Amino acid sequence: MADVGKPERRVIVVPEEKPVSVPIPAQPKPVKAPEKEPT
Amino acid sequence: MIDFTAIRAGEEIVVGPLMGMRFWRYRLVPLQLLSWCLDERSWLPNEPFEADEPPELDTTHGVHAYKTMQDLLDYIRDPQALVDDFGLGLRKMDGIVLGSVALWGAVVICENGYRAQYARPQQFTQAFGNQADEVLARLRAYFPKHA
Repeated sequence: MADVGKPERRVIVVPEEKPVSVPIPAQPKPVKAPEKEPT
Repeated sequence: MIDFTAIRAGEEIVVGPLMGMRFWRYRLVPLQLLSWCLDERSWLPNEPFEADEPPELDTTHGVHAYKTMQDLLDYIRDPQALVDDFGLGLRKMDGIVLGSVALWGAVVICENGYRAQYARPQQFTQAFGNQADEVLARLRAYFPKHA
């Protein structure tokens, strides 16, 4: 297109990522150890 | 999309995108948005426009854009005259549209603007030429704004 003037420096521009909400999984319920059968 | 292996030692990494101001040619049938240069590739919605070659300090490659609208207007001077002088000639267009553009990838920062590897239109502000008002509305609807 046009003359945008004298080059000054070269950079790498990384597009900003949109924040993503991550659902937190529900805490698993502790599994109760089976009661030991009376022998 | 960005080739991080191409980053050179000492090169600054900027979280972007950068915003620039530029103008495009348009054609009415079918509606096409084209660069001012003689590149016949259309700019498409939802698809970044990629420069033929990544910009370098010692080349003129890259998608060109000015830093401010005033810089752009200083360059164009008279938008209607551009349409009148070039519309039916080599550039085969129905008019021009001005607006802002997001820029990223490798970018050469210049005195009055930028040369970028990737670009995407952000906003169309003014159009000059055939059916200019209608084209402005159609382009705004055709290109969703990416915040």
